[in-house]
Amino acid sequence: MFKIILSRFLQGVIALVSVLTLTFFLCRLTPGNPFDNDKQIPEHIRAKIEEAWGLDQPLVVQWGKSLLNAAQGFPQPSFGNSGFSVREIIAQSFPVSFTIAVFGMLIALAIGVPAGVISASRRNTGVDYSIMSLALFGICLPTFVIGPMLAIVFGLELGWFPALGWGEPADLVLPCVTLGLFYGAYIARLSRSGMLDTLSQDFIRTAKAKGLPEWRILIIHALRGGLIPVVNYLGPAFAGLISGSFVVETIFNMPGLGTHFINAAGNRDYSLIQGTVAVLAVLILVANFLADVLQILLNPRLRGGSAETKAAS
Amino acid sequence: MSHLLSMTPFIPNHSPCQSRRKPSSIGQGRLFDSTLLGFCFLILAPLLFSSACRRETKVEKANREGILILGNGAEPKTLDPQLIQSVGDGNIMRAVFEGLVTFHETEDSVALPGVAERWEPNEDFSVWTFHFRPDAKWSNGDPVTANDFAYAYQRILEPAFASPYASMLYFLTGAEEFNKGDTDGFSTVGVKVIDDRTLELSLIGPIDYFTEILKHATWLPVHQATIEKFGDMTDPFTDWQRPENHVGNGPFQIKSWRINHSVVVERNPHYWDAENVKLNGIVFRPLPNEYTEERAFRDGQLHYTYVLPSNLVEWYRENRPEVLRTEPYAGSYFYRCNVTKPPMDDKRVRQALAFAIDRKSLVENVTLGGQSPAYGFTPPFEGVYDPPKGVNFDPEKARSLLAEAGYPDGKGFPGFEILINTTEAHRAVAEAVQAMWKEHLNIDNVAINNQEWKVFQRTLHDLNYEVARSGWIGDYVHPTTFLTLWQTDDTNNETGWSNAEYDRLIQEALQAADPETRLARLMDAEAILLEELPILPIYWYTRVYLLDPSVKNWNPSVLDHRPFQKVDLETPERKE
Repeated sequence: MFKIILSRFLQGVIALVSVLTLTFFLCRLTPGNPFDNDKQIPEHIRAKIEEAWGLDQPLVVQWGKSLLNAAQGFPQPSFGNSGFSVREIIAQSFPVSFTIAVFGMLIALAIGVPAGVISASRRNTGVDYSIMSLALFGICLPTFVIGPMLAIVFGLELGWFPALGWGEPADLVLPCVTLGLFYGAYIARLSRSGMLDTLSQDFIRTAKAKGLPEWRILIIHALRGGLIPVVNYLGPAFAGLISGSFVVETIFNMPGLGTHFINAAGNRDYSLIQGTVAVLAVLILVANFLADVLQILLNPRLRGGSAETKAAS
Repeated sequence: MSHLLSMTPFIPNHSPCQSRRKPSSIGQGRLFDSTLLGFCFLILAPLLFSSACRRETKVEKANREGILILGNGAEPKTLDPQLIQSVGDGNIMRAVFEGLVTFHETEDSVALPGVAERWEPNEDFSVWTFHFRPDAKWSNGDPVTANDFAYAYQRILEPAFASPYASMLYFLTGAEEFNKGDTDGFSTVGVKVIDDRTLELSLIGPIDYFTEILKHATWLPVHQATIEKFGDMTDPFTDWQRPENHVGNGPFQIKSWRINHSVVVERNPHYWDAENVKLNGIVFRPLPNEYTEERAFRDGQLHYTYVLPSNLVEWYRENRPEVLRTEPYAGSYFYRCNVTKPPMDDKRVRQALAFAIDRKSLVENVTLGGQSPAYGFTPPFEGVYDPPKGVNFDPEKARSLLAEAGYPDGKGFPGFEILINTTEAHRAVAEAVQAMWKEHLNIDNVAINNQEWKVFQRTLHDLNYEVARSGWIGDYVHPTTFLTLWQTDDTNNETGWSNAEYDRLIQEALQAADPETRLARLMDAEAILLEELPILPIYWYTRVYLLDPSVKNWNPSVLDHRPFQKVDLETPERKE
């Protein structure tokens, strides 16, 4: 296990440096710079500003500095908002995105897993068809449709929850439900197919032959195997939730990381782009690693497999 | 997202005997029906509970507490008055700083005493002396002195500080040279501290409207000791503008700043006129998405929206006229023509295009915000300036001009692109103009090309376009803020157009000893601009927004300048 962790860590560092390097050069290849605006800055002032930000130095030097800045945890100010360092901006916005992502994911699991299990257990019945049609509907409705719909119905018309904003617990409900419905639909489909796969295996037939009650077969025996595709999906989905909730953050006006991710690119905020990209990259690496570990814990065959390989070698 | 889509669901691997098995053989117990019910209840229970009580809206709560909540467009980039660039940032600055003069509640072109209790210009308006009120104080209790202003003006003009808006101070003698690094030492600039309470400013020419210019945020003072506590005068990245360190001299002071959430200001007890400030605080909320902002207003979270989407204007006009406000705004929407490239290098082509735009139909059917069809470039300032009637909708004239240029009935016209930055509203205008040119000039090879904002700015700057969508918002209430733009060497000209006579008239206007001569020269210059048409005027802006009826003393302003110290809320039971 230690060996796996160490090798994953080294792979991660290499991946991170490559991602940051690629991002750096892609940014500089994009036309426009942080100081282009509709009221143009006189040339002599623009030159001074670029000097102050180090944009007049050779590209290789700037690249080296950007990596150094990343290694130090992004103390450089943001180009777009010079009052804050990139580190602070991420520290302010990450908890917001993390909270929404956690609750969104919990709602998605709470909806998706039971729906998938019920569907699988009632395969090809009306229940199955209606749940799966709903799920398909949920996947097809993007968050920018569900979000405003929920905000208008539950926020403005019924007045149950704030239609948008950030500050009180009630503000969490609509954005998290929006994300939960969308991701829940995926999870329902994934858990249904995972469960069907497991339910068709011999050990389930054995369990049934032994006369075990149905709920025991489903929950105790089948669920662990049936959830493997869901677990596989959770890692990347969670990373995507944190950095990719731009749409939900815009609809519900929340000060999260997704907004910075998009706006930094639009503003050519070179330092903030590097920061947000680094966060996303680390998240994906960590999430994938955790998903792998969880999978090993859930699937006895993987554990056995690695032991056999060891024995053989 | 590609990750999600590429996931292939596991396909169950059935043996034939399994697939023949009746699916209902598993899951016949009652358990799942009750689980399902219980689950639904869990989801719905909080909804049912919360529906029992109606929430107090944020606006109602704010009204009780005397707090004004404003939508303020984009996230502020800075709280340093000498670094700001956007109108929204200027709004926050006006709440927490006060200049030499301040704003009148209703009259845009009247200046009221601010830090200066009185002032007098010399005979030809080229040297102005300001006398400070004795009780002007910073939010930390220090007195505001003439030195604070001189320090601020030096700071913004210091070449090393590289303030993007430093050119607003080029009205001072020697300022441009100092800012460009041609002269050493701030002593060459026309700022003279006579004593703690007297400041003398020397201008490059006779400027009778100087108090209008002084209202701009770049002329606000800063607190020297605070700036220098956190760094050098010329260091733009220090912590002085943090809420906990920030020192201002306005009716309010910064309380907190959270990115993409809010800037909160509270009453400044040291403000000289604090007893007449009605509000206890203001919350500036960045709401860059106009539909989200409108929902926030309907949800009772905002007193005021920064904008209103044009497709909702009609609904509000019919259903909630009491919250809808429409007022003229000192801005011009127009198309730049690149006169260095054919076919736009031919004046007659530009004129033909200008006369073939039906502006009235455009504002009534496309932009919908009550904008006024532009007949010139500078929007009319009531009582100050009305531009010459240069362009109108005249398809006959347009056709004959195009024929003169060698394209009778549009035949052989080489075609071009209208460049816009990517926004639906700009596309709608461009499509309407494109259709008008096709209908009236029979030109069907005009394309529309959209570019992302920063790329668009680069293309414009590099003169790499033919016709480009543009807008210009005035910095102060006077036509010079619009007309100086088209001088040959102005950074913002960006059309390649140069006219010696125009440049001469503008310089004459800037140097004219009396206001009448000045306005006459500006009129003449604008007439040349509208004859040559390096730009195609389209409409003059309006500001369309929503305002909660509880807000009192919020008056129309062509520059969107609201004296926040005068604004009040209708609050019968305010908590002090």
